[in-house]
Amino acid sequence: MALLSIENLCVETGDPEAAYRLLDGVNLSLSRGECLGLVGESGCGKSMTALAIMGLLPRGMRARGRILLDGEDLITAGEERLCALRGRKVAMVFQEPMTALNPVVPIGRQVAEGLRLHLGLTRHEAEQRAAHSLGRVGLSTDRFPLSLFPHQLSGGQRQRVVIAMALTCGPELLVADEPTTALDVTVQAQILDLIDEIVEEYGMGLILITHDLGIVAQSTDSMAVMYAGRVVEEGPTAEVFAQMAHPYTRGLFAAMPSHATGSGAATGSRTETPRQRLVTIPGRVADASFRPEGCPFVSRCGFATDHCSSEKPLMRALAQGHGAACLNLSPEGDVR
Amino acid sequence: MTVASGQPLLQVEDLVREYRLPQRGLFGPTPVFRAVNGVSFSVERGRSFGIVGESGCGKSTLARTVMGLEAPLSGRVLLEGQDIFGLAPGELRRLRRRFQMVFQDPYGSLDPRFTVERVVAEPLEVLLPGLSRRERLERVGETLESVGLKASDTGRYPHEFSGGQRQRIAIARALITEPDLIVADEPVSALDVSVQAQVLNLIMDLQERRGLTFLFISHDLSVVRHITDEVAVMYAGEIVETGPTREVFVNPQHDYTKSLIDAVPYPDPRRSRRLKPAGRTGGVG
Repeated sequence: MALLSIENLCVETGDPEAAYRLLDGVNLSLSRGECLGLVGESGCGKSMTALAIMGLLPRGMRARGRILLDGEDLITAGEERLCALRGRKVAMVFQEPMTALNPVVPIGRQVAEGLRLHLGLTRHEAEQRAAHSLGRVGLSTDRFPLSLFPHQLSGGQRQRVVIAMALTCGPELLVADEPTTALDVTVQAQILDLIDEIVEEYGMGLILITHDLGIVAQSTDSMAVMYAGRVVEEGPTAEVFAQMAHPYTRGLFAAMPSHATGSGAATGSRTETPRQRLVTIPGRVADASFRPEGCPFVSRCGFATDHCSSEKPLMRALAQGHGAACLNLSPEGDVR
Repeated sequence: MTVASGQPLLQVEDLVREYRLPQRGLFGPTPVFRAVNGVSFSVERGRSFGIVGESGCGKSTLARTVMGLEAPLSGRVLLEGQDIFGLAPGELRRLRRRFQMVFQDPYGSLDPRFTVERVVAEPLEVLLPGLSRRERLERVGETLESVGLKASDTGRYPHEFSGGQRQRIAIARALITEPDLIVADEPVSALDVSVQAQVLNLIMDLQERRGLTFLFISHDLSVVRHITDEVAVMYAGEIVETGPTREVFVNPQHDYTKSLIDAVPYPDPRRSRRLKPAGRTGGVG
C-alpha cells in the first residue's frame, strides 16, 4: 500500500455559493523510501497541498476528497488525532528557518519538544535524544550546545535544527516546503544532501516542494507539475524530463536561463552577436477567482484550440506511470 | 570590444566600505566590518557587467556605493572619468540622471499611494524640473511603452500590477532620465521563472536598442551567465575572480568559483544524486 495517497483533493474558500477553488482535483501517491517533487510557480497550489496534508489549512478553507496516510483519512480526522500524528508520523520542514523556530527557546528544548509530547520521555531522556538528532544533522553538541538560541546560528545551521526537529520522532512522511529557497547555493547543496541521506536512512517518504527544476531533477524519483491548483503532468522524474508532454512543463523548462543558454552562448563572438532571448510563457497565472472553465493554461498556451476553453482536460496516461492533463496530446505524448 | 571613446563608462578603483558594529564596552574600540575590501573593475560603454556572490559578500554594498548612496572609506568611483565623490552636491545631482538603479523587490520599491505616472515621473521632477505637465505625461507614456506596458496605465496604482509588471515600472522609472548606466541589484530574484524570462528579455532588448550599460548584481549564476558579457565573483568583500562571463563559467580558476558553479542544481535527472547509490530504488520500507 502506498504510504500516502491523495485522491481528488479540492480546497475551496469564500462563500459556499461563490466559492473559488485553490486546489482542484489533485491526485498524488507516494511510497516509502520514495521522493516526490512538487513543482510550479507561486500560487499554483503546491504549498496549499502541503498544508492540507498537515491539516494546517488557514481558517476559512475547506478541504474535500481524501488524503490517506497508511490508509487513514486525514481530512476526516479530528484535531486531536492530527496533533498525535503531526511530528510523530508526518513532519514538515518549512522554507524560512527563522520563523519556523521559536527565537526565545534554546534549540535543545525545541528539538526535544516532540519527544516529550509524543513519546512521553523525561526531560533528560528527551534532551539526550535531541543531542543525538542534532549530531545526525551535523550540529554535534561539543560545538553547538543545546543551550544555543536560533539567532546564534547561521541560516543553514537553523535549517539543520528544523530538520533535526522533524526527524526526532522518526516520522514516516516528511514534507519539505521550499527547504532551501532562503539559503545560499552552496549551503543549499549541503542541506539537500542531508535531507536525501536522512530520507534514505530512515526509509521515509519525502514530498519536496520547490520552484527549481534543477532541484527536482537532482533530488526526486517522481514529480508532479502543478498549475493553477491542478496537477498538469506527473510521472517518474527522468520520464517527465525526457518527454515534457504538457506545454506548461515545456514552457517552464525553456524559460530557465541556464538551460536556454546551453552551449549556444559558446558559439560566435560574445560582443557583437545579439544575445539569445529566453523563451517566455506569455501572460500570467489567472487569478484563483477568475479561473477559466476549461484548461487553466488555455490563455497562455501556444497549442490551445477551441475546445480547450470549454473542456477540462483530465490526466491521461502516456507511459510507465507518466501522465499529462492536456486535450491536445497524441497517444505518444506529443502535443498536436 | 567596442572601443567608443577609449575611456570606460564606469571605473571602480580600490573601493573600501566599512560599517561600524556596536561598541563592545564603553571605552573599547568600535569594531568595524569591512563589507567591501579593495574592489576594482571597469565597465565599457554598452556592456553588461555581472557581480555574483552569496549573501553577505558585499555585492549590494558595492552597488549602493557605485550609486553614490553610500560613501566609501577610500577608493574612487569614476563615471566617464569623473569621480562622483569629488563632486559638489549639486553637480552630483545633475549627474544622477546619467545613472539609475533598479532594486530587487518590486513590492517595496514603489510607493503604493503614488500613481504609476507619479512613480515613473519622479526622477524628472528633480532632474529636469522645467518640463511642462504635458511633456512629462508624454515622456512617461513613451517610457512605459518601451518596457512593454501601456501608455494608458499612467493613472493606475502599483497594487493593480503583477510582480513582473511592477518590475517593468521600476525599470521605466530608471529609464526615464535616459541614463547611460543602470545598476540592477537582483532585479529578477523576486519573480517566478516564466516572468523572470520576460524581464530578462526586456533588459537584453533595452541594452541592444539603447546601448545601455548594465551593472547586474545577482546571486543567481544562471541568470548572470545568460545576461552579462563580463563577470566578477565576490567573496567576503573581495573580487576573487573576474573575466569574460563565458570563460569564468566554462573554465573557473578560483576554488570558490568552482564550488559555486558545482553547487547549482542542474536540470538533468541523469545527474541526479538519487542515482548515485546503486539499487537505491529498491526501497527500505
